[in-house]
Amino acid sequence: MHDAAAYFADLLVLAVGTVPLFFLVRRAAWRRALLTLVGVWLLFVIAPRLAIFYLGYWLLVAGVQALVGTTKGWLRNLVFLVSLVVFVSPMVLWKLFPEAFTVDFNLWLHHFTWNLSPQLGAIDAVKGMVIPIGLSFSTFRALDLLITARLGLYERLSFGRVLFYGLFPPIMVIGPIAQYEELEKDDSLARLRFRTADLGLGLGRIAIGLVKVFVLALPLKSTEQIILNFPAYPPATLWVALFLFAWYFYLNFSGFSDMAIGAARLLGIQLKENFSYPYFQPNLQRFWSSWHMSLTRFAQRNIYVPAGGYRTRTQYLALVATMMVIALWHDLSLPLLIFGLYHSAGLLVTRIYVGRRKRKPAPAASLSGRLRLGLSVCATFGFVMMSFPLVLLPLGQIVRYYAKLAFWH
Amino acid sequence: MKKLLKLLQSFYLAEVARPLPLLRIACWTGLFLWLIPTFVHPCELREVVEFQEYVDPAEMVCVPITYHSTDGFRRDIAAKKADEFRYAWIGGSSLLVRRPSSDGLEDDIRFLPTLVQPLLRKTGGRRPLALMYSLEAGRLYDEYLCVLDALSHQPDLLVVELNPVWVYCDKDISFWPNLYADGVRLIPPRPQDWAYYLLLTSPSKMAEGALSPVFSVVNDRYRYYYRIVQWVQRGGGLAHRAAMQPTGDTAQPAPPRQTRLWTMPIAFWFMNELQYDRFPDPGVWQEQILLHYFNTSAAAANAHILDMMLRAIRDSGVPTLIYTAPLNPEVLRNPQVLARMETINAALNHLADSVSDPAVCFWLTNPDHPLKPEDYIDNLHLKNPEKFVDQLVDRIARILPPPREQTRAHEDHP
Repeated sequence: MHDAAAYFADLLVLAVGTVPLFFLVRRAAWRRALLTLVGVWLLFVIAPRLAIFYLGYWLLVAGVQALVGTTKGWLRNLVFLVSLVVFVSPMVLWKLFPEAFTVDFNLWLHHFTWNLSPQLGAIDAVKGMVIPIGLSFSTFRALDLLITARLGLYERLSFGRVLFYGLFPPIMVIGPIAQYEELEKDDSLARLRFRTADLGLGLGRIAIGLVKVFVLALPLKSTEQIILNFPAYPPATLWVALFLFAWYFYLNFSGFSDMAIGAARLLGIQLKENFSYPYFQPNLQRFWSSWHMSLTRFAQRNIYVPAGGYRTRTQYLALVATMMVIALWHDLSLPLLIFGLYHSAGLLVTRIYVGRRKRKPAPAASLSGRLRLGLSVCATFGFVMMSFPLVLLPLGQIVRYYAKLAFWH
Repeated sequence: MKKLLKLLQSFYLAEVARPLPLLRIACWTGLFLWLIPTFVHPCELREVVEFQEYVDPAEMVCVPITYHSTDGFRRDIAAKKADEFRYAWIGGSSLLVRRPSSDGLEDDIRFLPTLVQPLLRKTGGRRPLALMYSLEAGRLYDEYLCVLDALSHQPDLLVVELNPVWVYCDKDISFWPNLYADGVRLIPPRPQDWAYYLLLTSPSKMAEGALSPVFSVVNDRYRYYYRIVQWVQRGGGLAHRAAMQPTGDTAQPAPPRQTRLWTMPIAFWFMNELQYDRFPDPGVWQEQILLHYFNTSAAAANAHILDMMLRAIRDSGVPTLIYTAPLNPEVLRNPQVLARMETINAALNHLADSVSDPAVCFWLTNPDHPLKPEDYIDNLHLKNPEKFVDQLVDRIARILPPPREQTRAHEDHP
């Protein structure tokens, strides 16, 4: 089964040829076409059926986006609503019925590939089962595009541009959930010139990502197994494992984000940050503003603001709704629902507490002030750390896990 | 003058100094790639080559590194010596002959290539050395890559075993992507074969293959990986630290549930397309694969790969025996399977007819081979191969040129 590490290995190898070629061609359309082709090849390497799926998916997004942009009134709203359902449903079905969806996803697409060409089908069969890697990220980017089109925030994008956005190689499988304007704004793609600074920064960022994933995170991966097999371990070990798992989770995810941001930077494209020292934040609000920031930004744009996050009366409801979407994006399951409620409660308390503290004078940079900051950072980390077993364990084991953690046998 | 100097300086900064960071990055990368093998040594190659422990390396060298490897073919094969009769044998797990131990100790394991060795009389007095390419679950494209690698070692004889279950199964044309990296050195002279290689191989595999001859650290990637695995198993990894040892319920975990998501490619297609709840015993699924995943048409991928393989053999001029692995007669009692076997024989005969070279010989063993059900440990793997070995020796003797001729041909080689 293909994983994100193998994907990035292929991406970085292809970058050796793609980056010079990208700067050699000057026309934006050619540059888009080049990066789209690289994206298709990378998907093809995972499995031809995946390349066919995503090509079809983004062509459909392009068509619907054009339709939303050209229709008016109730028809526009209808097209928009139907398209939301159509584009969200694969991800929802996958999260609800992972096994059945994965099997059918592979079978249908494999048969389609086989019907296109038996030889391509034979190549596809070699790849075996693949998970719909990148589907969650694609869904959110597609939604972002459709919502933007619905709001008329920028002009309708051509098919070529939508395909370029959908199949932009650095962010295709593991995020960040970049907006279209991060990739290209007002034909900025044509104006990009080769700069050694970009190359240096990009390679440096990729190196940081590689170190995070393969040097720092990989040795901590076994903590996942310790948590999953918690009945066999004493509580002290479980505490150590939980602490280390929190770091594994962060280093692994942020390492891949670093690689994606670095790979885009090689082309001179500056993506927004996805992590900003989340474990060193003094409260939960700041934590969520620095953890998987592209998802937080997406939720803020499309849920928090429309749900009335900036209005006094509705702000708390908007906060809970936003947090629930972020939680359930990871998995549509009861443990993740609890995860969402847990963090919503934490955020509400933080919001109320921070709101009250704002009225008091800020503490001086004294020793006690620093000590308080240190304690806040530790408390925030502890709060977040305690929620990670919800991401890993099935519902039936969660209570037993926490009981064991609390030294109850 | 000042203006000119300023202009030159700006030109230098803008154009000449520009490649310097690139150069710096390249230098550092090169330095690290060179330094790593200087200070960190990979483990011994013999530790990672499957089956080598069972045989004398002076008699047989196992070439593919198959033990869960990221690596492909071993590259430490010595150049052919003047007094050496080198022959390469390519096949699947059926090259292995396993005689179960009667006293409960370790099974007696031998290999078809070495069983044939003492009976070969036409080596012109030269010392025989077998290069064995035995791939567990080896498939047609993997065998094709093995053929190319074997031919690169200048063999005097090539023996290719085709597994009748897989030879025309277009649902599983390749199983060992770790061999693809070596395609970078093997495929370029064969432009007609590029398409399949490009469709199957990932860019990182190609890069591994291209960098391997240049940087030993890339060439030895699997040996480093194996060393890390050993370190983890010895207790270097976090999970094996004393503080991380389980103290509670240490009962053996339940075997993994066979879900429909089983990741072995053929198992996934088999279980989901043929609607099996679990992956059945080999006897059943091999039969089912013969019946359901079978395509002898000229347009099928398998026909193309066989064609590629034959062209490579023909171009080399190396005497070659291509035979189908003998199946247990029990399997052939099923009339549907027997009918399939006849179709396979017809397709391979057609292929054999297209080869006019007398040095390339086909031997379709099924159903007329001398083996009995009691000679097998299952449908394919042998425990008593003697009768089959005799016939193999006879077939090989027919395609080998007379010793004197061969010696003369050998003398022509530097």
